[in-house]
Amino acid sequence: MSVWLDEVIQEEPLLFPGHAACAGCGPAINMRHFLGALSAATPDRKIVLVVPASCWTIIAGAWPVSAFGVSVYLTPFASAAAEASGIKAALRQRGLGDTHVVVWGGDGSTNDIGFATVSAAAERNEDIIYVLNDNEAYMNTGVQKSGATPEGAWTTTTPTTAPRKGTKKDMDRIMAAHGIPYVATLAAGSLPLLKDFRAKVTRAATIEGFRFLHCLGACPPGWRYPTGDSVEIVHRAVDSHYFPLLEVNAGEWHITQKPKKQLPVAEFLSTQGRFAHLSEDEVALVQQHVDERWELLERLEQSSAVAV
Amino acid sequence: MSMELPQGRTVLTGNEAAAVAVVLARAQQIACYPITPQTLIVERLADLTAERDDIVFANLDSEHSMFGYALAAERAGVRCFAATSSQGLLYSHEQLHRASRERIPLVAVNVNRSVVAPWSLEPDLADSMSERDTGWIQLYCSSAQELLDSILCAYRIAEEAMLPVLVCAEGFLVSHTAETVDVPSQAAVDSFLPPFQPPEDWLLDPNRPRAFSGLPEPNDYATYQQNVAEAHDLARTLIAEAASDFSAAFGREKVASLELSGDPNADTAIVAIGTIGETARELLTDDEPPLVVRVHAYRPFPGEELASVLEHVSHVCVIDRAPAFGAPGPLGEDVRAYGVTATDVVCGLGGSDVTPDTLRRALAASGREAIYLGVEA
Repeated sequence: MSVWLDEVIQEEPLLFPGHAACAGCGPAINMRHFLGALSAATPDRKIVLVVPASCWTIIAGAWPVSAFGVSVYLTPFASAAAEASGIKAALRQRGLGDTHVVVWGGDGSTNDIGFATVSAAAERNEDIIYVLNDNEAYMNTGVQKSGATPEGAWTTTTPTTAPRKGTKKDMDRIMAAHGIPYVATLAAGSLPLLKDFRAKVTRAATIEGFRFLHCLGACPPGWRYPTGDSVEIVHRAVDSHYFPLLEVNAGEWHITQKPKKQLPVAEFLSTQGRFAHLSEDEVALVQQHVDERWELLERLEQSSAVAV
Repeated sequence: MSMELPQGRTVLTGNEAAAVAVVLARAQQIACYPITPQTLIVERLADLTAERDDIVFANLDSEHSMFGYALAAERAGVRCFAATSSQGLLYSHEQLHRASRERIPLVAVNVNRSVVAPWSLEPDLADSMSERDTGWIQLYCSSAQELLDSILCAYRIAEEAMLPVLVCAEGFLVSHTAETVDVPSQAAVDSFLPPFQPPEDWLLDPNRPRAFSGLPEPNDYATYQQNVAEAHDLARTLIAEAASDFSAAFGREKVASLELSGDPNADTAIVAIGTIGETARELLTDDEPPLVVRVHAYRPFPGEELASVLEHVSHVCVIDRAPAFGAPGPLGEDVRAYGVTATDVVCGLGGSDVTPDTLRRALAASGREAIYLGVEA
């Protein structure tokens, strides 16, 4: 296995040890591999990260130090996609147009407060990469419900006596509906998920226009699980169809990881304290909605397939 | 529609004059979001820049995004412009604060319009007065010519002070009123206003990876704020220098911080902002004419200069075209802060008429609390 990982990871990290993320932070794993794969795919192109208010305001490091080997521009909560658009246009005017301008936004800024701005940047097909770093709640402020919080989940504003009703906002279909060149979902686990993750970043690196990468970000304090379990939980999320790995390439839907045997979603939910209060009936309802979405994605895959 | 830049002496509305100034200033990016009565500025800019491949015109999805776009682009090294009014300025409030703390020399125009509720499109200064503490330099104009000239000066002041500048003018009274305007030549503007040369240690440069606006320790945070205050103190001098250089370069008077009209030894004085400062000049032919002081540069506030001008005036009447509920109006409060005893009269809200007679009644009033003139009259 280690030989395999050496083949996958050859670059020096651009997120340095000593960053301020929590132990076991899934998004830190995402960031490390996102930047690594992006720089490996296009070694001559510089990277500017545009980061709206989030855990990453903290993780980036206390002034005057930085945990990154790339430029990091911290912005207000709702305007990151607009700011990335402005930076890209300015760098183009200064002859630095091949710079990757990347928004790294959480689900709060993407699904909620910055939604209009993300949508507008996609509608303009800005030449930027937008990463939705989805840990399914406002984690930086201490686990409050967002538009990405899953059905039934506990948060501090959806207590177990009144947990989240309804299903999370389907950003993948929403962003695909903008007709942008590339949408993908990514989960940084071990192999083969890591290979899938990095292949999607590599593909995004060479596409022009608005690219939307939706990364699942396992969060030990917010999801309530031991810090060593992040990778295992990500695998269960994918294997249970809770977080399908897909890409939409020029309008063509494709499920990129189809588990040989679907894990019951209960085996994902049971790993985390945020779902501990769910009754059997409630788990069954989550299972039903997970299955319905998977079937929908399969239909999208079949109906959008290009005839060979 | 593509449009040629007007040349020489011509007739323009305030909004058109603003658009012409932005092109003459060689703004490289224009961030756009419509709102009445500002909209004509960006419409004209869209026409004027349609066939220019050296200028990016960006249609954004809100004023908050518009300022975010323009501030980030400026931080990446290019000269930018944005325009708004009223609710749009208020909607951008957090961006305005952040702009001055980041020392981004963005120039924006605010066409003053009253704020909701109730809905009104008419002018007063409640919008930009609500943003007076955000760290922007604020310049208030009373004519199309002054708007054009002040935008040119604003870029110079902004980039020398590394502070954002909000150039304000009342909606309709200035924005939609056609006046004779002298449009300077591009060559003359180019020699007055050098290209934007962002300081290297400030610039967002992908080749020099750094983190911007990261969390500092409290003492470092406080130093950041102190730096902005010091830049404002420096800007007082820069505003005066820009006006003096402008007058020399273009051969017409450019107001720096204050415009004085009438007898400096008059017994009474009216202190006002914008078009009310013009209206007040009609009192100069009265039997006992006041000294008229029009405040052009409102932030940094020319307090010392104003106190010195008003030192021997026995009755000072400050006119505020913006409310500040539960306290004197903003201008009244500022004038008093420099030791001047003044009566503060609030009038002209929501575009209500301010005539010479209104101002005569204002001069006759006196009191410690703000007097809302016109409400009972």
